[in-house]
Amino acid sequence: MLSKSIIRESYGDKLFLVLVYTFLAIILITVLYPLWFVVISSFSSSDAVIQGEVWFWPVRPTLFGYEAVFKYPMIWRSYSNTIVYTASGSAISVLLSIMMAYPLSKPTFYGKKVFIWALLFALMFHGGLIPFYLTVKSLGMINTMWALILPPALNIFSVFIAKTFFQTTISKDLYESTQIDGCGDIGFIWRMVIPLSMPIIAVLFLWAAVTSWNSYFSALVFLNTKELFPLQLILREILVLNDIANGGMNLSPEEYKKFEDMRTLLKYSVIVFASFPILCLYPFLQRYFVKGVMLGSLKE
Amino acid sequence: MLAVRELTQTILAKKSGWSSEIYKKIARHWQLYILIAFPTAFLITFNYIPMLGVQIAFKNYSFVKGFWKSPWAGMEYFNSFFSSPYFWPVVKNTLRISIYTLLVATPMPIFLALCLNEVKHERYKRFVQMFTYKTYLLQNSLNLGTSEIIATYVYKIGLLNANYSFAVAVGLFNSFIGFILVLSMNFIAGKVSDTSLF
Repeated sequence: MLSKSIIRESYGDKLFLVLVYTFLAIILITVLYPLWFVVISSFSSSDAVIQGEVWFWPVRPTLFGYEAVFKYPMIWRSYSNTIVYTASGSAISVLLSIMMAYPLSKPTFYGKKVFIWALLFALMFHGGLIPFYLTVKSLGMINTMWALILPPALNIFSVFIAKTFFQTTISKDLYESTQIDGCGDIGFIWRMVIPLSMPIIAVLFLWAAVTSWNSYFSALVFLNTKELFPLQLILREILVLNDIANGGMNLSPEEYKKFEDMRTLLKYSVIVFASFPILCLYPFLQRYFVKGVMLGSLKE
Repeated sequence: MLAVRELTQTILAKKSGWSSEIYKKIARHWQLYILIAFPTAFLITFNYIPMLGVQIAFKNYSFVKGFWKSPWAGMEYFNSFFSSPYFWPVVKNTLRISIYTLLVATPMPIFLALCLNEVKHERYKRFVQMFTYKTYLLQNSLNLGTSEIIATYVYKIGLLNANYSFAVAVGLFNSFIGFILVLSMNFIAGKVSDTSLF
């Protein structure tokens, strides 16, 4: 704490610290309030939300928004789809990053420079959406789950972060001592590199998972069967396309009117519903998060 | 006998020359080359092949003929984009987003990190850190309803109307603007502070 420091701070320093603290407090509020607003709105009555009565606490609390989300056709199917896409996609992505990063982290790896330049070049220049789409199409992946899992699997940023991590944490002596014991390169990665790199693996996994969980654009482009849609695409349908009543729910006109009123409310419950799993994942990986990013960012 | 020995010696000398040196280096880490082959296959398939596909901006693309065999169209698609009513909105949008990123989105996290560094109250620091990260993670779901961007425009004309070449031309022009912007920023950075990318 401040008072414990032996050197007394001058008034200038104190003023500076006060300014820093207030600035961060303002940032915190601007960041937290929208989140809080989304949560309380999702529990409030829709009239109250529309009329702007909701300010800090839920007004006339109701769970109708959530009920409507849960009843929406395909929502659970899309939820399980997203879990499958996210889990397998992130696992493959992390695996590929390690497979690429470890060889490149070895100074004795012949041809290292070619690979690094190829990666950097791909980082700077892109073919763009249409050629990408046509490539995926010619591989016969359109309208299959592979279109969401394989094309984005190799993340070049992750490769570089993992490479720097391996360079700084996996010592040459460790490698040599395992070689004396008769361990090959793959054995070394499996038995030594992976267990020692859990912080960075957790970070890369979280990044991949968040990106994959939130992505809807590639699903929009590559999929057209509803049974394959990920959650975000169904949510987009609810939020943007406004076809709740046409969604096969068979509502009476009265119920339909009610649903129209609920749309604003629905928007908020949908956001909470979709973000919940990622928020749950975060605390488990958080302790690795800051540490891992720092370690990966170190450069020799 | 002596001749045979000489011959083997010259052969050995040749073998330990340039090519066998490389062979030894590769053989030493052969397992790593097997490993790196998988991600490299991904890199080629999903990064480099689409890059070659950019040429269809100058071609009349037909799916049957593919990237290479479609007939050339010259600047036709660029010209029709320049004269389309979408031209200026797309350019403005690109410039706005790039300049915003440059002025606000890049310095802000740095400024935030500098401020956090000054804070000595651990719990306050952790609290701010946690929630600013959290919103970073949530960003996407909060922004679902936002307005049209260039990617969606390209998607609309390209994939929904199957107007592939035109869409690629738009995309290519867009990255061209981005590239010019990066070059000019780099030039300014070089003039002002002696630090530049290249």
